[in-house]
Amino acid sequence: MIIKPEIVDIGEKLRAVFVPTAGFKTTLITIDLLVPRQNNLAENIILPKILSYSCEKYPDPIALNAEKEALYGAIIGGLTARRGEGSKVELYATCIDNKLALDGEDVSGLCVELLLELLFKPDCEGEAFKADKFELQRRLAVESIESEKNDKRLYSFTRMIETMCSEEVFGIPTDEILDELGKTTPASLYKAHRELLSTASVQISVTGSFNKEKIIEAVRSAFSSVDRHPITTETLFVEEAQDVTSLTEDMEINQSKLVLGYRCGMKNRNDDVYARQVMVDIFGGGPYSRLFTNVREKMSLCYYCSARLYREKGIVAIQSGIEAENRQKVLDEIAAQLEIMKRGEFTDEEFVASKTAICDSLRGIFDTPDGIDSYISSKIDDDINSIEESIAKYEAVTREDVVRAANSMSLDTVYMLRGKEGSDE
Amino acid sequence: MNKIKEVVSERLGEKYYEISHESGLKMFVYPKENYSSSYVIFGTRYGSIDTQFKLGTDSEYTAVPEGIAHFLEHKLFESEELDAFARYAKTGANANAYTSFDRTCYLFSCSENLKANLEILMDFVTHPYFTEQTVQKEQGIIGQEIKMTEDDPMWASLFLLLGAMYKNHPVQIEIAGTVESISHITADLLYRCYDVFYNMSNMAFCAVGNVDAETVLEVADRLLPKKPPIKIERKFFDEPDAVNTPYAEKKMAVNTPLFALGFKEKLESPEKSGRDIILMQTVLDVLCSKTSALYNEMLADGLINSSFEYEYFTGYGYAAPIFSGESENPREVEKRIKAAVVNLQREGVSAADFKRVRKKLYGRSIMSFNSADEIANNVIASAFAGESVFDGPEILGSITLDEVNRRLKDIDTERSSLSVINPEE
Repeated sequence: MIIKPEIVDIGEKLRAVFVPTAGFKTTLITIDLLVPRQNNLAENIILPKILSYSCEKYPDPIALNAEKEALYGAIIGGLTARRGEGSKVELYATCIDNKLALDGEDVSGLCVELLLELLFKPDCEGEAFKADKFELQRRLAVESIESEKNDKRLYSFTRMIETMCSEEVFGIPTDEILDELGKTTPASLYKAHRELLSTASVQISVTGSFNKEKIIEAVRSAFSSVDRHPITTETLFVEEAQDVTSLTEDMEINQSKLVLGYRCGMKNRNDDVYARQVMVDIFGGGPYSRLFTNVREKMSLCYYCSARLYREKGIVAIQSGIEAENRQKVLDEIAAQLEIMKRGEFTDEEFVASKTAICDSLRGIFDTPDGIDSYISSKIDDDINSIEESIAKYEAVTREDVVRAANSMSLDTVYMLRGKEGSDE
Repeated sequence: MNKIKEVVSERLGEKYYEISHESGLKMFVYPKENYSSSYVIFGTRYGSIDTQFKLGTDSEYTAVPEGIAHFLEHKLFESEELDAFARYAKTGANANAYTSFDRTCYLFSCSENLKANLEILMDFVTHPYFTEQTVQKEQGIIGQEIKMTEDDPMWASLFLLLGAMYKNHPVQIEIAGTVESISHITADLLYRCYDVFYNMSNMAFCAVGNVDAETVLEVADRLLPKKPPIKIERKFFDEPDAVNTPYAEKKMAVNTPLFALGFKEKLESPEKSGRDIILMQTVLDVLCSKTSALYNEMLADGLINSSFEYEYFTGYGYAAPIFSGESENPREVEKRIKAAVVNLQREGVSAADFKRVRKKLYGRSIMSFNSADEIANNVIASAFAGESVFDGPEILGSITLDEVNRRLKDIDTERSSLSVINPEE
């Protein structure tokens, strides 16, 4: 789908992005608030949960949920996402398109109203959130972080990042986040909420059908009650690894997880990013990649072995699930494949396959409201390029660009979560 | 001759073409205006539960190793020359496959080269190539896939529950089998299963998005084999009404215990109708959605957290409402849910709750017509169930409170199992 986002600046670091679409059954609305991660770290994890749980108008969560269900089962909620060394607090609503409502209601208008109600008028007593609701949402936040251990792939990736970025905001350890959550109070949450509204870079995006003027007015009026002092969120980019850190931990699991972290020479999120994406994709992206065809298909060492660029931090991570005894074999093969990338010995077929696949999937990402929204949301404090521009940049990447990108990779951390079969060795 | 029928939903403003292809294949072409990409599935009604089967001409049932449908899915990508992934690498499509309890699907999405991608898909799915060497190579890869899923505690708690509820039905078997069971798979066995389940009369095809019937049919007419249809008899396992055991537990590397609670439903015939499924989903929503007293009390009392979920789990020969999540006290969760069921059965669903939940489910069913992949998967599932993908919203428009209250009586609190995954000591 070809889309034309319209950006409306409402105030300093406060903008709305409207994407009119035809053919979707839904309208999707998100409000993103970006702040530095270290500011109210723990409070900003609880905030989107408590804000979408109840509010001044609907203090009873059952009443609030009944309101959502009456809006044709609108999916309304909140979450905190990482963006480099920033926290992105998000409230979102997906509702059916107005023209599908049985009684002609303005469903998307009602959803915007409700979202602003949730964001600006929380369920508070004086200068504090209600204690019982605070305790409940804090428990849910803690348990949700603790349950990340259930997903061994995610857990081992997090442990690798904590090891690799132990001196950086990006690597604040889970234990410290849990400690911080323990120190929060209904009053500290209230204060953090005020600071969030005051200091965040804010972007509201609406994809679907909507009344633009009405939404702009509603947002302007809601923010007029706030004394705005927006701050910029910055991320530290470490271009090169100093030496390699190795860490192995044991767990009662059947399959060991191997996670490698590389610094990749980036100075900021846009630095030579197209060449790096293509390089990482040939190295360990799709089923045509070097890691898939060699570590998995030729050597049968794993079910998955893939590389991914985290452009918001300038890191490349490789993840694989293996037998503990094959650790060195896998490490050697990954190193050998990276050498091939660095010497430019990948084939023309691989080079072309990667660019073709990346561009093909880019052309389709605007075929769902979620695809459009996550693209816009990822650009919260950046320019919003058209997909055609991005495709042209990928098409212009040369073999030399890829070789240069490969040569700026340096291995920083090797983390292994070792399963029970390996721990006796 | 191909027979083409246009199927329209006025309510949704959607339409598709249903084609009875001369090869015996049921095909669905579902164009979406303004979409740049397309999503295509070629699937067979063959999954992990099909462990015993016979053709109309056979006198005995053939029993095959557990996990063979999934193994076959992996191996079908190979051919004597270029494997399917290598061929897709030239077109840029994003290709994949999956195996579930009752189906195996091969799929791709693409924005360009639709025709070339259709050729690859229809060619490799209709041309098996298995040798003892390639079978052996795959045992290493799938062995790692099996170990990966063995470490997933949510998956483990589901299968622990299925084993507790069912005594004979193969739904309790892990979809990929075990490292031991797949060691018995041979090229001959793969061919035997292929010849039975990959007959066009047992398969379905669906293309959604930037597609047209002409392009699809041109490729299908040329590539699909024309063999006589066959009649597969699936063994209807003699399954007692009672559960196998009311309680099962095991230990894994988790922080908080995980539970799954299922109510085994008595089956008069092997499959539940679309209407019966929607009626039960309505019952479950009234019982424990976020608007219910049950959910909110368990949350406030610290018994459940954000991971709590419920579903109506049903397929050929099995049906059970299942409730799952994390809890420090799964026994108490079980007690509360059973008490709420008994209470609701006594008092009946109120007209107001019925109206609200129906509106929500109606909205959610409309939302599912947004994305090409969701539509394609639903079309295939509906085709195998002998229904239309447009039936859901229509059924929701016509169900009555009386029907819901009658359906509610099908939950038997005397026939339940609870599975618990406890942390290692």
